[in-house]
Formats: sequence, C-alpha cells, structure tokens
Amino acid sequence: MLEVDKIVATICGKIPEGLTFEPSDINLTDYFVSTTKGDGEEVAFVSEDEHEKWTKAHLIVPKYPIDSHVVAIDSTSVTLGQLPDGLVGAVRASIIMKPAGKTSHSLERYGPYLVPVTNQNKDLLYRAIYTAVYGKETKIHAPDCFKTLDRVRNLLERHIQLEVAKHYGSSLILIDGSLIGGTVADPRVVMRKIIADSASNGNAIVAISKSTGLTLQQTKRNILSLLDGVHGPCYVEGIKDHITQNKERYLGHVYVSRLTPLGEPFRLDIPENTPIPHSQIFTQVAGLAGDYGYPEELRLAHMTCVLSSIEILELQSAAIVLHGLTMKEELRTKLFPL
Amino acid sequence: MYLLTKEADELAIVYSPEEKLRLGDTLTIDGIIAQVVDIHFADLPGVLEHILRKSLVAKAETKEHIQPEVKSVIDSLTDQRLAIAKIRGRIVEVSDDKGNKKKVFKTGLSEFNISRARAEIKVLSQDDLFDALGLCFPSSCDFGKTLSSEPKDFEILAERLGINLITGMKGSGKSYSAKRLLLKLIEKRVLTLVFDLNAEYLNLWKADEKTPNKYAELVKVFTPRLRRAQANELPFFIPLNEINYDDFATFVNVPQGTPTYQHLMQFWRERGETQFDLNDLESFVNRVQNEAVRMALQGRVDAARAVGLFGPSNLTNFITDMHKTGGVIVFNLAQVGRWERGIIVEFVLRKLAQLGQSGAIRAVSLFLEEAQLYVERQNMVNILTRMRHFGIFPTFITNDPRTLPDEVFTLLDNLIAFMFRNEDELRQLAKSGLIDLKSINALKHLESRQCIAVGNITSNYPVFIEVNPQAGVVMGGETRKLVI
Repeated sequence: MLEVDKIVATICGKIPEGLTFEPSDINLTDYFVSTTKGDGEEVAFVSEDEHEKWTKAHLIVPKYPIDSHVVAIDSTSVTLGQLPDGLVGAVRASIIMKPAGKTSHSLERYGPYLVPVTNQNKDLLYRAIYTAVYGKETKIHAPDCFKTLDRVRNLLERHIQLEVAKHYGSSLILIDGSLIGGTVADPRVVMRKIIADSASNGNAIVAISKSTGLTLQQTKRNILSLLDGVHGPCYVEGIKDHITQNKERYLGHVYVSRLTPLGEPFRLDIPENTPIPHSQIFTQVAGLAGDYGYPEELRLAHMTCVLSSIEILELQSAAIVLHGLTMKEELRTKLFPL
Repeated sequence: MYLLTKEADELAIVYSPEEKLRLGDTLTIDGIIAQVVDIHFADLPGVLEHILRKSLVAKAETKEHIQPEVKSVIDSLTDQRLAIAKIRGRIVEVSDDKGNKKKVFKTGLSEFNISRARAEIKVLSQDDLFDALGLCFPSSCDFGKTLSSEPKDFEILAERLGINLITGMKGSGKSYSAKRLLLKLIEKRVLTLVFDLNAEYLNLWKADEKTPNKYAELVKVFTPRLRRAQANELPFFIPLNEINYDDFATFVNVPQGTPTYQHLMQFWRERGETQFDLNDLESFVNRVQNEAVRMALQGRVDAARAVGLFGPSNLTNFITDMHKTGGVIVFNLAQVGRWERGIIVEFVLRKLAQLGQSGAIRAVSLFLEEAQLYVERQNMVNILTRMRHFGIFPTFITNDPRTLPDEVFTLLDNLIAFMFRNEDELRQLAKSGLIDLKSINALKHLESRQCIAVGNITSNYPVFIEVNPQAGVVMGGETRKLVI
C-alpha cells in the first residue's frame, strides 16, 4: 500500500474533550450519504468561431484494454456532525486496479479517517496537510469548516494521485475531475508534477468529469451539449484552443466524449505527452466504459470509497468516543416530542 | 442489551458482539425470565446495500488502511445481534413457613411493565436459575454441562425420572447419552432392563476390549440361543412353567377359543405349580385323541423347539436379586428375528408386570431403543398407562419420534431431545406440551451430544445441555464406516 501515515497523522488531530456534538441526520435506508465534491469549477467561456469545423465528432472504436494495467482513483468526504465551532468529518480514498492480462479488480482503500475541523484549528490543519502533500509551505487561510474538510479530501486524493503516478508504470490512470492547475486548492506545480511523473513512468493519465464550468460563449450552454443528439462512441477535440479565459490553467487537452453509444457525455482532460496517442486512449477508455458510458474502474473506485449510512453511524460513535464528545440534545425534539 | 420488541411470549433483544450471549442462556429483564432460543443478525435498514458494496471487490483482493482508533468500530453495526428470547416466567421472592425468604421460579406473566429504554437485561447465572428452579445437584455431578455463557454441571436426578423420551437424529448422541444415563442409574442402585436391538449395550461392562470396568459385576447380558454362559453373557430361555397357556398360545399363534387353545389350557391346568418343559408338553400332545388338534399342537411344539427360546431359566430370581443391588439386564435382540423378538419382549414385559404387581420388585427402569420395532402399539400403551403403577419407568429412545404413539407424548414426564432438522419431527416433539415449537426449533442448531432437557428433571424449565464424555466404558453404538 502507499505511504499515508504522515498525512493521516496530520489530519487526524485531537480536539479538546467534552465538546458537544450534534450528529448529522442519517437515514439508514439511504444507500450512501451524498456529498458535494470540489469547490465547483469556475465558469469559463469557449468561443464558437468556425463552430462547424472544430466541433466535428470523431468516432471511437472501443477495445477492452486487456493488456493494460488500469488504475482508477476516487475519494469522498462527509460531515459526521457539528461541534460548537466546527465539525467532525471523515475522508476515504479508493484505488481500483485492473492488472494487465486480467479482467478482475483489486482494491486499496485509505480511510476512513476522522478529521476534526474547527475555526481554531482549520488554518493550521490546512497548512499542515498542504505542506505534507505538496512539500512546500503556504500562508493561505483555510475556507469555512465544510470547505476545509473538502480541501482535506482533495489533498488526500492528490497525494494518492502523486504516489500512483510515481510508483506505477505503463498504466492507464483514471482520475475523477479535471487537470486544472493554478487554483488555490491545486497549485499548477503539483498538477504538472502528477502529469510529468505519469509521463516519465509511461503512464497515460485521464481525468474524467461528469460536469464542467466550461460554457459555450454564444449559447451559454455547457460544453457537454456539443454532443447533444450525437450518438457515441465519439469525442470532440480542440476545446482548449477555444477557451477564452485563463487558458494556461488547463494542463491537458480538453475533450467532450460519449464513450458508449447511448451513454452520458463527459469531459475528458488528457495531458499532451502521453505514451500512446490520444485516439488510442479513447479506444481503451471507451472499452472500459460500462453503464451510462462511465469507466467501470472509476465507478468501482467511487462506489468503494463513499461511506454507507451504516458506516457513518459507526463513525459518529467512534468520533464521540475518540474525542470525548457529549451528544447535544436537540432543543426542538425536547420542546416538541411528537 | 436493549429490548426491541415483544410479540406474544417472545422478546427480541438487540446486543453487540462484545456482549456474550448464547443459545440456552437465561436472561433476567427486570424480574422477567426469558430464555434465548435463537440468535440472528440485527436486520438494520441499509445493511444489504452496505454488504453488497463491500462485495464489489473480492475480500482477498482488498487491502485497507484504516485509522487505528476507528478500526474496532467499523462494521460493528453490521455485526449487531438480535436474540429471540422466550418468556418463561418470573423469579419471585417468597417466604417459607419459618419466614425465610427465597427466590422461586413462577411460570406465566400477567404483568408486563418493563421499559425498553431503562430495563436492565442481564444473563442470569445458572446457579441462580437452578436455585429458583429447586434443582439441587450432588457435588460430583458430571452428566453434562449447561450450554450457556457460564456453563454449569448438570445431573439427571434419578428420583425425577418417570416416562422419558430420549430422541434425536442419527449421530446426534442420543444413544450415547442414554448409556450415560444408564450408568448413572447403576450408581444410584437402580435396576434397568434394556431391550437392545443393535447390540449396543453389550460391552458396557468393559473398560476396553480385554478389561472389565467398575460396572462389570452389575451388567448382565441375556442372549437367546446362547449355548452356555460366558463372561457377562448368559443364555436366555423362557421357562414354560413361568408363563401361562395364554402367553404360550400368543407366542405360537394359537387363536383363543379353538380346540387347540383349549388343550393348551388343559395341559397348563393339569401341571399346576409343578416344573415342566416342552418334552412334557409333547408327551401331553401325543395323548390327544383328536388327530387334527394333535397335529396342530405338535406343529406348535416343533416350532417352539426350533425357535430355541423355551427352556429352564432363573430369570425371575435374577431380576429380583439384581433389583436389590441395582444394575443392568440387557436383552440382546440383535440376532433374533421379528417374531422371536416379539416373544422375548412380551415375556419380559409380562414378567415385569407380574413382579411389580406382586411386590417382588419395587421399581425398575426400562430402556426401549426403537420400541416400535418390537413392541406392539397396545403393549406400548400398556407400558405407559398400567405398568407405571407397578413401578416400571420406561425410557424410550428413538431417532424418529413420529413412530411412537401419541400417548407417549401426552404422558411424557421428561424429554431429552438432541439435534433434529426435520420439521415434522420437531412438531411431533412439541406435542408433548413440555416445550413450545419455537424453542424446540433450536434443536436445529445444536451440535452432537448437545440437547434440550425438559420436564421433571429440570422443573419443567428447558435446559440446554452438552453431555459429557464417559471414561472407562466401551460405549459402542458407533456407525461403522464403509471405508476406513
């Protein structure tokens, strides 16, 4: 397994005992507790000059990459409950691997880790994990406690991506999201390092987003709409060339692709220097696509990292014991018991 | 432990894996006594999805790095247990004549005023349970151990035996336990007669193939057609002068009221109290004028001689003598056919009734393995209804309780039931009224030599027991393997 002890020691800090804790409501009939991931990509416009030419969809001939080693990474965070001045959350990341020559999968799972975030510790926590993952110090202030928890998740995921890019070779690496660098959460140098390490180890890295902030300038519609009415498997290339703002933040080529005939359209970011041509990468990724046109390995990574409602209940009880918390009695239920 | 629901006389109790609870444990819930008869996982909403998600990748292909402090909590909810406990009654404090207070067990429950949130649920110690049940075992008791979180020695008290049934499927340990009970009865100086269909009891007097054990003097085996006594084995004969004409007529199939029957009656009356045998009967037959009757009688004499069961014997004295010391008389029925088996059993049962009625014996125990194979239904009912008044205490041993007449279950005093899987057989056991169907269903989960004992021997409280192994006795009864 990858080395994560330093990260875990950084994020699983202690908080003063005796704080009141108001657990998040959990409905056991929910399959898992939905969480919002990421800061939400800023809206950026894509010009539509000579629209007819560059938005032409290229066909993909899917082929299951039986001879390739495939790695998919995803992570999750959830708020377990609130403290008077913050929250206790949990994070977990999964790596799904399909070895070359096989169709079976193996799983490496990191977490759950209990992360207490308060107004008092959040700056310290964020700076410490930033340094632990990126190897450089930062003076930036952490956002509110909820966003800080998501940043912690993001940094854990980036750490795992960095380690995978460094330790694996000749693999197809699938990650959730995009290859945007130069944001507060993801400095350009780090994203470049993930891409560079992947390239030097013969890995092809592909970032897949279910949603994007990239918007067509004239119609104000999302770029995923470029494949409206077009049956897959196919992709549209050259989108980055038409991005009108902060183009330098996009560290790979940006595509919109439908990976199965009737699947959903996704945004795919693929760095320039890949060991195999992008068209071949599409062939492989489409070969992995399952229900709704989403790669099976990434779907498994997501399904194995999200926390079930039962796990959340267990983690809530672990948090209470570990941090010596006392349950907050809900005033409303005391006043209005029926 | 928390009380979740109550449905009829069943309580559902949620508990965590750290709280040790097992089948047969007795719980006290604010004074209510309930016994664990089944254990499940607590069926939480969302568990299916949780487990399905875990099963997406094979366990062998999964590696996890979990925060050490969280590790013990993860999956604790999915492992929460649900115990189904049958309400048995209450333990109440009563005062005796001298004003001494003691706790006693009372069946039934007319009040139910316990709180789900606050009720204190504890496992009742076997000592406290047995005290309340008035079960007081000798210090050297070793029949078995209770199946409970804290096992306690259990003994079958001979004075509480009556009409008993030991049952269980093949290989469940019922015959083994019957033999253990038999040895206990020897120690209590009780005489037991055993009808041994499969030659399982023949070697109870041996410590191994060559050495006799401490019971050797008190175990005697009667084998039909044996030429002479050897070691503990003696020849079995039915002396004609110890049976009456009706017995003989029944054994050799002479219908009542026929001239042949009347001639037999005449012969027996002529002989009165004197000694006689088949030769004397044959001489009598030769003098019969009516040729047809003579031929019929000669045929019966020939058949009786061919069977080899009739001859001089001191069985009556043997039984009355052994009755004083206690011991076992085994009737080896393994080598005889169905007809002869019927004659032997009929003779012994009649003899016992005679001795009991005359007061020659006070009380004896009778072990009947698979009785349906050699005791007529009417005789079985006789044993249950009449013979117990003569001091004959039957213990039926069978692997199919459905073969016994309903009277066995109606009059049963004690039930010792081993593992069963067949629903029909379980339902049959519930007919005894000693135990409910839900509790008897727990038999499905028992291992070899584990049983439920209920009846007088347990003050009517079902006790889950594991029978201890017996040292120093060749117990026999093992099923041979086709290939070693």
